Amino acid sequence: MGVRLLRAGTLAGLLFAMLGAGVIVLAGAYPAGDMRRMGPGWMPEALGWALLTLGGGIALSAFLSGTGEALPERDTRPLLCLLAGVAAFAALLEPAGLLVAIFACVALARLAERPYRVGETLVLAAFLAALGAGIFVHGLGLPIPLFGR
Amino acid sequence: MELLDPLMLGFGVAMTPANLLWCLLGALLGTLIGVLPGIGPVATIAMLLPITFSLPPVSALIMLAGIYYGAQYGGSTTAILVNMPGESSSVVTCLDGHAMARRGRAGAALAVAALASFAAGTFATLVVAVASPAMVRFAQLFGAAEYFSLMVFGLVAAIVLAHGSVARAVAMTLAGLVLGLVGTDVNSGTQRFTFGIQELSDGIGFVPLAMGLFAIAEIAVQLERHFVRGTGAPVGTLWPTREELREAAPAAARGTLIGSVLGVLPGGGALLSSFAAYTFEKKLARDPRRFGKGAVAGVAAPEAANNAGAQTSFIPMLALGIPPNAVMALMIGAMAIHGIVPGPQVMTREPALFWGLIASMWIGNLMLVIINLPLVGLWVALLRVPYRLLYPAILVFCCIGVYGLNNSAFEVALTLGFGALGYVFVKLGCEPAPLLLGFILGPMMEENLRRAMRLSRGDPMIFVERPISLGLLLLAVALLVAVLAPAVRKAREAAFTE
Repeated sequence: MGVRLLRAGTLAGLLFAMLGAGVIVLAGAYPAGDMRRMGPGWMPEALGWALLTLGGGIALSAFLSGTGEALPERDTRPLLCLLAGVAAFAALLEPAGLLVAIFACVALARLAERPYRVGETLVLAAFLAALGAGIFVHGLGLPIPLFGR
Repeated sequence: MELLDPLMLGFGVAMTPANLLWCLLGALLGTLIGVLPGIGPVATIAMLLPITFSLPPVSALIMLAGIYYGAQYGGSTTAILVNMPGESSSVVTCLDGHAMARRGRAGAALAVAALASFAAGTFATLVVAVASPAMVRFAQLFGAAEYFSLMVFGLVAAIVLAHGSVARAVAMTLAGLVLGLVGTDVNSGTQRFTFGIQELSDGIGFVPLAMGLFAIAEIAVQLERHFVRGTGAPVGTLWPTREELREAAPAAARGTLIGSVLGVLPGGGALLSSFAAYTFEKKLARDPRRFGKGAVAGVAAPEAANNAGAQTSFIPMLALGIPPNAVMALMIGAMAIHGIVPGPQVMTREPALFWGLIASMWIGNLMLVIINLPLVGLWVALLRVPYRLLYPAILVFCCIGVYGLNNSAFEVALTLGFGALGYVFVKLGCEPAPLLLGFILGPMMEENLRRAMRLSRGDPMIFVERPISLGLLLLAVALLVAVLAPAVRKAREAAFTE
């Protein structure tokens, strides 16, 4: 049974059903109004119920069917490295500036693909930092801090 | 001539040296990013959006249009040379385009693709010029009920056109509608789903969502495959032979017609057009076995169709203010940044912008032929750069693009979240395109639903009593029934697996 639970359809259905349930709970705080004057809660609640029902249906039919599609192969290392790079960029940009943010982003994201070469990565980061600063800050004049505040 | 005057006005606006330069620059940059594998037009436009901020509105839109066509064409280049579709609408181009490249006719395939695109673009620009004003007049008949039903129809069409499970596509659309509601409710001022985060009170940004789902998740999937890219076939001569041209021309003409019609459909645009045109050519051919082995018609027809479709998908956006696909939603976002609210009023109030944009479509297509064929060598060189150097560059420019939009580090963090979500969706067999369309249409749909219900004093019959609204809803139901019918279902599955 454990295998059935790990099917793409079952998991997708559960994800949608959970989203729907969460939306219904949160939307309870907003006035729903009536058909004549729909309040801010009407549409979210309707959508929440639709998601809950449909998600439940998807999960159940995938769980019960004899030939559900299996979850595809996955290797989350590249994804996690990319996300770490973006997180570093978001966290460092305002306190440390664009140049540091780009270096950190490239160094972390580059871990996603082997072989990791330190020298090459540093050159790439320096090149991208120069390019980013040149195009967006000097060329286009976007108000992005180069060195932090 | 009723048509000639406004078109002349448009060319007058678009042909100024500065605007020509922006269009050229847009087409170049669009191609540059578009040839990178895994980056389609949506991510390309989103990434380059901040570049257009400092321009006057007309120039900004012209440049964006250039970027769009460039990205579109860049995708075909990758498809032909290394058998990797840069974006979904050039998937079919891979089949025969790369087969031609393996036979040493890569240059001819690129030239046929460019010329077919250009011919299709010229025709489709005329279609847009003729159909948009007619559509604007038609739009005068639209009230809240009609707009709501039109959007229902649009969402259903997007669901039908999505790959894979229909039920999951419906759920993705619903999830998109929910995401679209995040932020301040316009009618009551209530903060919905903001969790007290001030940055969310204006709603979730379209760019972080699109970048997360389409760029970051896509790069992660590419890296996971550890693919070894071909070094790229030698380009050879760019000149197609006479026989190749003779085969390509009628195929391009048919593809143009198919693309022009299908492009207007919501959710359709370039992707559906290229698939339909390819299937049609294969059915029509005297010897269908040649397809997939380098049939010139198999390159010309889908390339013409996807360009025509990309063009005519501007019609609902320009005339109704309703984006039929994600690219058009970005264009609407770009217009909003410049203070233009898209809709039927743009044509009458801002004729220079409206016709300038239409004229720039044709110019953008011309630029592609002029610049891209001579520059093919440059794009080939770019494709030889190892992916391990390219993807950090893509990622950095995504981050700068998102940050540059609102100077908000929060939006960069949001992109990260949607990137993770996008990866989960890919693994669970849920296509992100319907979610994006739901997200875009969500607020507009709620607004029109509430207005319609207020007008009818709470009677939902308003949607079936008004003929245009009823017609649209019936079309939506017919589409849904059709896609669930066993015969069509099989054909749809076959078409997508091909």
